[in-house]
Amino acid sequence: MAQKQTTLTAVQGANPNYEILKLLLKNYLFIFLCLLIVVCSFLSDKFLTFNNLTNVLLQNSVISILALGQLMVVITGGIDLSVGSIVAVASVLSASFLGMGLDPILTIILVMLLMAVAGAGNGAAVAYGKITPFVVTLATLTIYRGLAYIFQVGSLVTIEDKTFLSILAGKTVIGGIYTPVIIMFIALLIFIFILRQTTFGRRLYAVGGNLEAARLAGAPINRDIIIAYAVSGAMAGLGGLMTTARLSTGSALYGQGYELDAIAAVVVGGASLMGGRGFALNAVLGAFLIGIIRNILNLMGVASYPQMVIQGLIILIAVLLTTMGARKKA
Amino acid sequence: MSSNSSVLLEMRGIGKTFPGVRALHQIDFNIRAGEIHALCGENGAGKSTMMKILSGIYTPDEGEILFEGTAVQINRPDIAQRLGIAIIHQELSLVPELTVAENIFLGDYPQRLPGIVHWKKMKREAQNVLNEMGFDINVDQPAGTLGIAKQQVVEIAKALHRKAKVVILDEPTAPLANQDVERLIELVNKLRSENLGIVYISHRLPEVSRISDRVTVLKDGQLVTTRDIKGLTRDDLVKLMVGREVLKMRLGTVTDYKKKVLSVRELCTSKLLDNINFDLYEGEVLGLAGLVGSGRTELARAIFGADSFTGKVELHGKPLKLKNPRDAIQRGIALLPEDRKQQGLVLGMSALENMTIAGLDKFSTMGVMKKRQEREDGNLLVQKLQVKVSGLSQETRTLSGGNQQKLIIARWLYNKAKILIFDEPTRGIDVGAKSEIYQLINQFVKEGGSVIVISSELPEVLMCDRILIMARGKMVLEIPHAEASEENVIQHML
Amino acid sequence: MVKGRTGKMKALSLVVLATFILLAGCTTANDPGPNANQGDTGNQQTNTVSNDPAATADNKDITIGFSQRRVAGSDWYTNLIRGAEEEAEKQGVKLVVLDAQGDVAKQVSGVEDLIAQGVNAVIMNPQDPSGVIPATNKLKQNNIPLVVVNSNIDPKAEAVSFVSDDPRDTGYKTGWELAEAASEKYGDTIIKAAMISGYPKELVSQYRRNGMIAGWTDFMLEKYGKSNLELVAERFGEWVPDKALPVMQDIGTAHPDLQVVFCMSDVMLPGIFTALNNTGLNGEVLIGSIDGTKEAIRRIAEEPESGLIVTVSNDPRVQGADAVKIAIQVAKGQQVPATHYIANPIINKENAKEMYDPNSPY
Repeated sequence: MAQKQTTLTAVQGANPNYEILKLLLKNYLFIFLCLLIVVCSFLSDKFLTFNNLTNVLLQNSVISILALGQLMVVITGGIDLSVGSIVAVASVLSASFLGMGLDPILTIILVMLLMAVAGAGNGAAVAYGKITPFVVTLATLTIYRGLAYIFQVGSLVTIEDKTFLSILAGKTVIGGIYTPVIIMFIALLIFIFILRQTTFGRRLYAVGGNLEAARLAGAPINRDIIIAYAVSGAMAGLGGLMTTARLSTGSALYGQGYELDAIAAVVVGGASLMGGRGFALNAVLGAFLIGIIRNILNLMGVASYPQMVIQGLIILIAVLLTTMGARKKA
Repeated sequence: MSSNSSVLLEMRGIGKTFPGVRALHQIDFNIRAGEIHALCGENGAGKSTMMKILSGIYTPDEGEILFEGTAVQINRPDIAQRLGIAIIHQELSLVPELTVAENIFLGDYPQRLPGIVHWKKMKREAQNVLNEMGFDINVDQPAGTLGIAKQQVVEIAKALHRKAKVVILDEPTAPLANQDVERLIELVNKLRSENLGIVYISHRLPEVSRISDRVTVLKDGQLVTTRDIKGLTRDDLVKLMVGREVLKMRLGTVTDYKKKVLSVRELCTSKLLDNINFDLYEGEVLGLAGLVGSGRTELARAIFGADSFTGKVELHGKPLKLKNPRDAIQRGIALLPEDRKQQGLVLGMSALENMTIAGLDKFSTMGVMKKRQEREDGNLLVQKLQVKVSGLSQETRTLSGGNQQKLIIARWLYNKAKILIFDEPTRGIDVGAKSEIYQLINQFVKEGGSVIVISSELPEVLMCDRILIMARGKMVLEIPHAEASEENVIQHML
Repeated sequence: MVKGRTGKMKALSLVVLATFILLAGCTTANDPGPNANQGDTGNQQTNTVSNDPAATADNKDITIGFSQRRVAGSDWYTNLIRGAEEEAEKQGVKLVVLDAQGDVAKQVSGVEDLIAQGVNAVIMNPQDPSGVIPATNKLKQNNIPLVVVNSNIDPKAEAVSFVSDDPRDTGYKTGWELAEAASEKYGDTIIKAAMISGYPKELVSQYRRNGMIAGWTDFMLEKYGKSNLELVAERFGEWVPDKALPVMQDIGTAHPDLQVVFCMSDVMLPGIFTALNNTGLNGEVLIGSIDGTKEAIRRIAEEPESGLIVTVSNDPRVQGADAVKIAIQVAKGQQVPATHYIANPIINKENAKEMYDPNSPY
């Protein structure tokens, strides 16, 4: 191991208590989630039922997928506010394509590619236009929503394509688990792999950690930024396809405010909006944390207004824990 | 000399332990009124921990602090301020958008009525403070528009306005050009004559020997000695700090200038550089001298492809297209930037990741990394360069300047670079690590590489095989090592 | 599974409006729908506007201006304009439509343009109740009568007539019909119901909700002499299906014995059906809704197993057409009601087959 071969400085053997603390802080989100689940099971006897758990998984799979794409952008130090609108464009386009008789598999691929292009547009404006990501994606949030409305007029079709519906919203052999959940887990594994095991993932952290240093180390920063936004767009497209299939209808109304849910998930998951920090698993856990809180409040029958307050407070607490964790680690 | 004057501030048996590291151990230290007390030691010796304790950022685990004879608890920065302890950090803390006067009075603006600022009074008093210090600075100017030297003066004025009795200067001359250093030293002497106690932290030993009355040397968190500076030679000081003799260094020793590696012709940039021509040879260490703003850094960035330029750059006789740093890196040119934290390193990443960031393809296939190989390569590099890390995954932020610089050197060695351009290779690096960096440079050229050293420290430039002098964006003169002296280099720099 | 297209309507405009409010930080826009005058039940109300065939001859000389607050992004508004245009063609009058694109200033200058063109009457769907007062003042100066449609306006505007739907009445009808179906299925036992509204504290949502509860209670009181409604959850679906979905799903999980769902708008129905499917409540729960979109009508006609019992019409085309009819009458100097609520027929299993028009744009 490295410790033995390298010259040690003034480290005089790490304190075991400190190690445990470090371990706890590192996995704070997982622990927080487990505690939450225990608490929830006391609060409502409906919570720990198979039905409810599969529902929670299903409900939060779209936001989790959006959060994964968002995470990639956030790691580069950016933000993508346009994902909710891209969900709507993807929904309307997929309904139209299927209505035109396009093959469902081809439709899925085509829509995701087009949404990747929409995302790449954001990335290009950020990388080459040197416009703040917030401003770029705030503008495209409006533009893409407008495009969704334009595409929708007179082109809405019933989605009855069995293949499309069963791929994106069908039941699996495991009773009660729907395909969106499987898709989400596959996406999570792919993202963990990309961020941890590929040179592209490594460069993303460098770009977000210190853009100028990454450039001077020869990283193709513009290309990497554009790819990150393109991936975010493609994931939003996938989320849009899944929403469309679940509701068997394409609509320009879908996805409003999803960008904020995705950003909240990423932030609760410990990513820094300054860039350079964030993990795929934590982003998904963040999405589920928020989703479980909403679920338990609904199960308990808490009225809507206090629900909003409680949900906001818990997000704040989670982020507070995250930043404390980060500070202790530094 | 004022050895019998009263003690302003005294630290007794101060100790401070961080998780896993004992930063300070049983430190005794005192500052007298009317003295300049130099604090020396390599990076990581404990100087900054000590200063942070004095300024209320850290609380010591053991020991006591006496201020003018009474025990005090400095556990918040505002307590330090109220006592009259001012610290001037390396990174200045002025608000760039506010005027000089506003910065000096920041936080306690004089008021006509509660809540109404007495602007006239504020300006007048700010002007008075600066005049007394002997500086002519327009108090209406935004602080951000001042040069670094004047910003420092404003910081000191701020301290004086707050009736500071102890002023701690942390590496005050590091970012300054020579003439500004002189003015600062004058000012510090003046503060001494007004009976302030001054703690002077610096790596620049000539300065330390010149201006201070006493010196305290720390090493690895322990007190080595506190003694009068009189009778202490520069070499003695170094020995105390490093604990061993440091060799007089010579960089490079190329004898024949046969193999031309890099040749630059008619290089111009839109802002500064004007018709730069020079050659670099195999095995050579080329020194590049010039004042700040003479175009040294701009030239380095242009050759590295970081900034655009017109003109020709040839590598081994073949024209080189430099659109971005990647082009340069692929051809074996590497830049070690002046500002390591802003431009060199991703501080939030691990030591290993910073070493391998430019050579990711060396341990990956189709974009997938082989992390085991990365660690093995990283271990070899750390051993070869003697980087002091607790492990490859140690966060780069927590490393000393010397080790951070070694990481960047490792990065380019890993990338098989043939030309290293060092911009201020040893800025902010302590004496011990400095000589290690020099040895690495020598080893690199011995193996056939070429190096350009850009430095504000003349002795460093004078060590090189050849010295090029730049002034106002132009190449002024080339001097071989044998003919170079501080005098003739300075003369042409101005 | 949900089939068919989503109808789009008023709710769409609301959601778009809400997005706009979020984006622009604008808080002044009002809800299209009910207005302050609706409390005045003393005002004459007619559900159909009589046509005077004899008058068609001189309609040629009449030009009516229509200042619409916004069209882009809303099918509901598109259909409002469509209804107006079709009616104008039928009546043989000239209709000039101007789109203010959601901008009050543009709407004011648009009305000035209409005055310059010498229109005989102006129909306005105001972007802001009081922001358009400068324009209505100019109309008054030029003695051009004003008919307001859909969104309410400040009384200072002195509109001759206000044409709109009556959200309380549509709600009442839905509640009544749903109660009837529930009493047939469950008798006079306590019935567990959930309410899926648009937005909290929003007028349209509140009027529709109160109407629904009043209709339900009146029916039950009449039949059994007691009310038997247990509202187990009231949640907000923000007028869109994908927001209604998780909310309904959680309610379904928490209350597996749910019997009735009050849905505020047909637009949210796909989300509700999917949620009931996922929680295994499909077919069990009776649903009542509002808006009368093509897709909801089709479901009532063809898919009784979906549980959808009733939807009550709120057709933008009728609002547009009635506004034009009233504007013509006003232009001719005839008396018109101060408030005109459009017809809101009930669509249930008895008439759904006849009401279903697969080619309808709404």
